[in-house]
Amino acid sequence: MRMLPRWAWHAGGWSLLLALLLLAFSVGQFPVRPAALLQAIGWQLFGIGEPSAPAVQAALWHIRLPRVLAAMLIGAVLSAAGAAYQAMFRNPLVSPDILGVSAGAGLGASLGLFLGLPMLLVQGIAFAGGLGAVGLVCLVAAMVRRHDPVLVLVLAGVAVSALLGAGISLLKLLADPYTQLPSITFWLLGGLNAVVIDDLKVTAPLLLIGLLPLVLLRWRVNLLGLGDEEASALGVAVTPLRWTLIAAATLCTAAAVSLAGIIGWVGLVVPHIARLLVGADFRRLLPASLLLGASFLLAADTLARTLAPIELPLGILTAFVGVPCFLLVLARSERRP
Amino acid sequence: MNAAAPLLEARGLAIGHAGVALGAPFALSVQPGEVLCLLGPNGCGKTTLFRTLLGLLPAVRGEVDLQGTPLRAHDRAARARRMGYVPQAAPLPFAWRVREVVAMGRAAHLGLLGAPGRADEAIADDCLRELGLQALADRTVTTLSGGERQLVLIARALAQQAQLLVMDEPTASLDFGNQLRILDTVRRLADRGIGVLLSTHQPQHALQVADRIALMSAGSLQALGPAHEIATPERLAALYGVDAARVAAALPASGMPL
Repeated sequence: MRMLPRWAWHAGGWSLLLALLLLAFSVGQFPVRPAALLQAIGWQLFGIGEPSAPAVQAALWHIRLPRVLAAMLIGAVLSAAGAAYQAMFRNPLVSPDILGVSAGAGLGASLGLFLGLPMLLVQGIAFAGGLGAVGLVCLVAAMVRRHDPVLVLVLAGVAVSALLGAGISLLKLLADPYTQLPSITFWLLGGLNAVVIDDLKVTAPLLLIGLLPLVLLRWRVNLLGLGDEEASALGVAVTPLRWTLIAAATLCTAAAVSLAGIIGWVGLVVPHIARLLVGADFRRLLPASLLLGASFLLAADTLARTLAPIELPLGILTAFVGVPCFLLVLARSERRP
Repeated sequence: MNAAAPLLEARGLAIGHAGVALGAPFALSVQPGEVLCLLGPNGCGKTTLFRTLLGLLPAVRGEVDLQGTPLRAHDRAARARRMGYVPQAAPLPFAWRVREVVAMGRAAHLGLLGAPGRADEAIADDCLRELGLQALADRTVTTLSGGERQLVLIARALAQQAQLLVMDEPTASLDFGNQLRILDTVRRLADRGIGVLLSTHQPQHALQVADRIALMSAGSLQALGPAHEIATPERLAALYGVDAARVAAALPASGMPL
């Protein structure tokens, strides 16, 4: 498959995102016509024209704006984290929760909901749970020295995820089936319906801090894809580089999951598609993953709140959209010689 | 040639894992412009020796000097600027372009947050041209044949701009034409003044390309000297545990001073 020239994917990617953005603002339970939307944007951003009706302003700036921002941010960083994990683990089938971050955050959130804690505290425990799970996996991997470090990380991640998953099942069993169980289930399926602008003020800085090392080290990420010995022979300090990238990608993923619940497939599918469009060099793959990931989750969230009379869980939609995309990519990808 | 300082010199070197030596200590050196070829049966410790010389594995005993300075005194990047490594050409996990892979050889010349710029890309293109690979520059590495991939990895090692190249069985699993192409490349690089240390399973290849040959078994060097004095049917027969007459029949007569 031929790669797109730089200007083509930039133009295509940004136009897609802009189109989705306008669509996301106009559709929903309170539809806003394009003319009204332009009027509201003109007044809010540039102070021109007439102010919109209060109901329109409330729908656009208090309900849809936080949600749209959260969808774009979370989609972008989950995809970037997925791309980084795939490069580090030399495997294009790796997703950002490979080291147990989702299971840890899921257990933390389930515990918070089970104890009836306020939402901000639930998010805090979920975030700590996600970091804690990955910390445990890395600790195990650091102690086991006589094997391939990447293999140990992946196996420990699978094992710890399974253990934490059992903990989640236990909490669901103990939870009150009429009040707590639905909220745990909905949290685990992911969604952005509860996001308010104050959540973003806490989460967005964490996401950006996590993203920073990936952006700064973007060329070096490629070298880890060669394998430890080759990278080392090329003069790369492999171990500190890998820990830095794991810490950064985990911070991104844990912050995203603690705000939005478990949203699968974005971090696996989007980097895959981005790689087909712009190639495997992480210098181009990172911006492409960020851009496509923002569009992907914005589209999925817009569908989640418009497709049915009730709000659909986002995790279900990303699977419904992501899995066919993934299988299509798998079927069409080049055969390795 | 002997007057020049060795690019790589090992003295009293014992190799092994976790402090346990595989065999007796030995000495070894690679001079500028010289091809030193390592022969030995499977499992004799060639890979362990390479990993030790590359600084990926600590020596059990003895010293390794890189251009007159202890290997340990160089940091990883300084080592990579003096010694290029050509691994066996396993398939790469991602569809990078050839030019991107060759430019990865510039890592040791760049800062932590740096990336190859125009000058580095120009060096990568020079290295590709030197090996006659300029037509491959924009291909993705997943579409290359095994021989092309091996040549690309040599180009990447050249982009390290090191005086010494270490090659792990560069002719393994290649067809006849590609084997000859790789051997000619090795010879040409040596004639340009680069020192090459390579391993192979083919004594004929060693005789074609090497100035000196080292025979390795049981984790140590058994013999090291001028190619035609070392790769005799008797010694090869002892090394690989087969009959000397059988070895003599398998080797091309032209290469053997019997």
